[in-house]
Amino acid sequence: MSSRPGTSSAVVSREYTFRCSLRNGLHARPATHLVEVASRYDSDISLTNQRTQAIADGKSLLSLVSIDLAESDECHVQIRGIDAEAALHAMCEFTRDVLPACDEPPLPAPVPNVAMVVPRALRDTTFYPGTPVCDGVGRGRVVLLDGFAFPTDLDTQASGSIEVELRRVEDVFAAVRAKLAASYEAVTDETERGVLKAHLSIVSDNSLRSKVTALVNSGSSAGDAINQISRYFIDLFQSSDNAVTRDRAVDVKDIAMQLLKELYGDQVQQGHVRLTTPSIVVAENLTPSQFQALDKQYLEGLILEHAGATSHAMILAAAHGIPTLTDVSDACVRLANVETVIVDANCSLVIPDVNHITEAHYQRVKQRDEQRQHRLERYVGCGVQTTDGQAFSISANVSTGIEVAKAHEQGADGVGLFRTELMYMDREDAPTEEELFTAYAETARVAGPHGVTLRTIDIGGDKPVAYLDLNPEENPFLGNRGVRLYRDKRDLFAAQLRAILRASAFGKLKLMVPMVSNVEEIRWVKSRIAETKQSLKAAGQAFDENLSIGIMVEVPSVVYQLRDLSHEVDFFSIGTNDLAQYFFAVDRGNERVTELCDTSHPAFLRFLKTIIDEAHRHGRPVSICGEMARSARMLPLLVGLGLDGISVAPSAILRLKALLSGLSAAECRRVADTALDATDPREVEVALQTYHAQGLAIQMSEPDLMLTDSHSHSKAAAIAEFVDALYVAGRTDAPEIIESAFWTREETCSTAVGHGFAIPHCKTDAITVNSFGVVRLADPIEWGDDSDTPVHCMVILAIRESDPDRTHMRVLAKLARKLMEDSFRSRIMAAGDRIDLLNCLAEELHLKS
Amino acid sequence: MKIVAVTACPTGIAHTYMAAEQLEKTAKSLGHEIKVETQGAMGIEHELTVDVIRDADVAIFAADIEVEQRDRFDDKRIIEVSVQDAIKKPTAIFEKI
Repeated sequence: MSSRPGTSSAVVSREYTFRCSLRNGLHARPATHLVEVASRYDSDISLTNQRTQAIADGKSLLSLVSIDLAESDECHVQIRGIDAEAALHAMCEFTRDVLPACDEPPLPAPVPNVAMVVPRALRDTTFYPGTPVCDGVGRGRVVLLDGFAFPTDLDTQASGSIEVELRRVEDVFAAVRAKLAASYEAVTDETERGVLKAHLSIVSDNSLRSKVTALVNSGSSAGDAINQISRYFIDLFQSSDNAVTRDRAVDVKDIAMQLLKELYGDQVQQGHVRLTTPSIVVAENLTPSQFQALDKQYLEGLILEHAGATSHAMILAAAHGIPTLTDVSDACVRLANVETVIVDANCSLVIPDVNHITEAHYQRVKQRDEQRQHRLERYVGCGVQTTDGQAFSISANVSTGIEVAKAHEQGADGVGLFRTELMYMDREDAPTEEELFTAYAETARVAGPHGVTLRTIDIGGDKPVAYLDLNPEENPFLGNRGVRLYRDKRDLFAAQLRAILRASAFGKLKLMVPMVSNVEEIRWVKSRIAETKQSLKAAGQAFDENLSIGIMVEVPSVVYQLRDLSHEVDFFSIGTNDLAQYFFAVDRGNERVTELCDTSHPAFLRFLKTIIDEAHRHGRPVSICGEMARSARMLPLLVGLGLDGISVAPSAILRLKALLSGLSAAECRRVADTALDATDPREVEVALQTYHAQGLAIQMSEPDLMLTDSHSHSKAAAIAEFVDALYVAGRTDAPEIIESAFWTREETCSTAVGHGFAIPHCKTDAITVNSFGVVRLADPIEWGDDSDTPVHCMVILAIRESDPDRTHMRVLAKLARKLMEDSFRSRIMAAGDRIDLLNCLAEELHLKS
Repeated sequence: MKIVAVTACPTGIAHTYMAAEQLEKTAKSLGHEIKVETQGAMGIEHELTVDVIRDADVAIFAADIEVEQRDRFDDKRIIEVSVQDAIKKPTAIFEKI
């Protein structure tokens, strides 16, 4: 037996200390990476939290999470074994270079849209508050889901033979592992896969297994041991200061239940229930398994007493769009005898008493939501042009396959950016060509006529992808990333190319390469593509011969190679986030300098103009897929600069399309010209404001805010009617807040101004654009104060609190003054339909119509 | 008579201006000269200067909130009314002067 030079067969001890710099402490995700590194070595690796003296096995995820290593905690690492030296080196590098970057949560925590105001109509209704996890309103029969208390009445007699019990432990763990692995293979939804992966790592955990085994060896039955050890970890996690760790306790519980179910079959009360009618499930907490088992066809909402907002069950609920509230104290007790309940996650309320008032309110809510959706739907499935006929595409930025189909529903003209790296992250090995192909083919099938642009993997030293063995870099953003990586990772890239090309046979796909900095790089990529095409052809596999290829414009050097690049590619997409970073030499994440990275700076705008003009000169379309495109404020500029389109987050699309349809390209060009000539961002802002001010008639009001024939019979009904009109018109996302603001003003002092007119108004940022409207009442209504005459006409104003717009204010002041004139009031009452009334007002107020 | 006035209401977007309009119209119809300063959402507009105030015979405050820079009127007779009164019953106000 020869020994390799440089190694010894002696057991060696090494140690070092590091300080935890993770904002959220060492929770499951970073711990998983640490386990991956530690597990490559034979040596025993233990970590001691110096603050608490708790010790963890570096190869056990549960163990690591349980020592509760928080930000700034010192951690002492001890390594003992034959390969201790190598392990030391790897661990040091890992904790120094990779660990600090592991802080983002793997599954996006749900971010619901909340009004946080009790609707006026529900003021006197009983309700219970909660914390929203996923917005929406659900209504259904109350179904109480039993807690998953650990079974106490199981026959947990040890069989008497330690071997038998050990065998049971082995079998049960293997069975659950196999089931999870099978689900993991079968499931395509990324969110669900993320949860399954977390569960797989728990069931494979060293420490869990060894502790269970130890108990069995000392005489416990398999069931008892699993029970006890699970409880041990659950208690440990639940007592952590770290919210993310506390959420993981439920995952351990889930696995424990699965193990016990495997052992005891139906004797284990699983806390599952079959839904047969529209139901609202009420429980203390929920394991991911319990959530998955609920029939989504009947699940209208969820009410939890104390599920953590980032716990996996909640993340799944949000991914499925189930209206969910947590932190509803004593929900189970309070709703025990309630038949029907409403979960209003928009306003964070549980309504246990569904009576005619609540019915009426939610009927109204439903109606206005439908109207709003309907109004926006005119933009779904069709492109939008400016008022003077300029086309401008608005596509979606997505990261997962399910978002692609949804994007179309949200009005997208295709997918301008599909980030493919998600499938490569958070796993132990690279995805296979087959895996990729399955995902891409599915995407292609739903791609629609505009297609989906797949961006080849954009990974660098800043993202911990263990199996890529990327050397940590000092400046990962200026390092080996994007296209630069492909030469080193040829097989990886080849697999992706093959998968994309094969998938292109199923629908319209485009390919886009990130981080290109010179022509040679894209030529290299094209050669690889050509090779792949050849190989596929030889194998008789179909693909799109004319697959469109483009590049991200994010490295400044590309800007002066556009002519040559235009010969190589079909389109350009400007990644303004990174381009701006490199342009201004600013790290966006560095709070001290992030302000300098201003995409509305005239210098950057001139840079963009250079790109757009040059690309167009060579016949290539250009779009932007960075954050600056999402801003409604900037839209006139982007149109005026000459872009062919933008790609943004799906939720922003319909709003932008509505805005676009009201823009005049000629005027946008004028704004752009002024902005390009500016010296600083403030001048650009002024140019934009002036533009918006000129579109006054369109901006401040519209025909749908001229309610010429209202049949509301009370002040409350009339105000509610107008608020709903504002909501349907997209001028607010929080109608409850606006309604409340109007009433605040009403309660201060009367808004009746005599002659049958009233001027309700409010000041709140819940209105997105300063607005005014008119409500002409078919039957005069009581105004409810000391006022003499009933009101037959309301002129209603809603202005923003912040960024006051002088031009708008002037219009409103004029409107208020005019209301004191008999002739003006008469004209309002005499005007025919909505258009007539709006025109009349526009004329009187000297607005451009 | 020469009259100066200040109008100010809480939200500052409607009543401030309606009151100003009413005071101006009524004053003119009664043959008075009037200058009205509005204190609204746009801040102070048509600000009354020291000279103008000195020349005036009387000041009217139609306000539901504190009038800003009130000290300008320290030597003036001030008639204080609510914004509502200015809007609904402006003539009555001028009877007081």
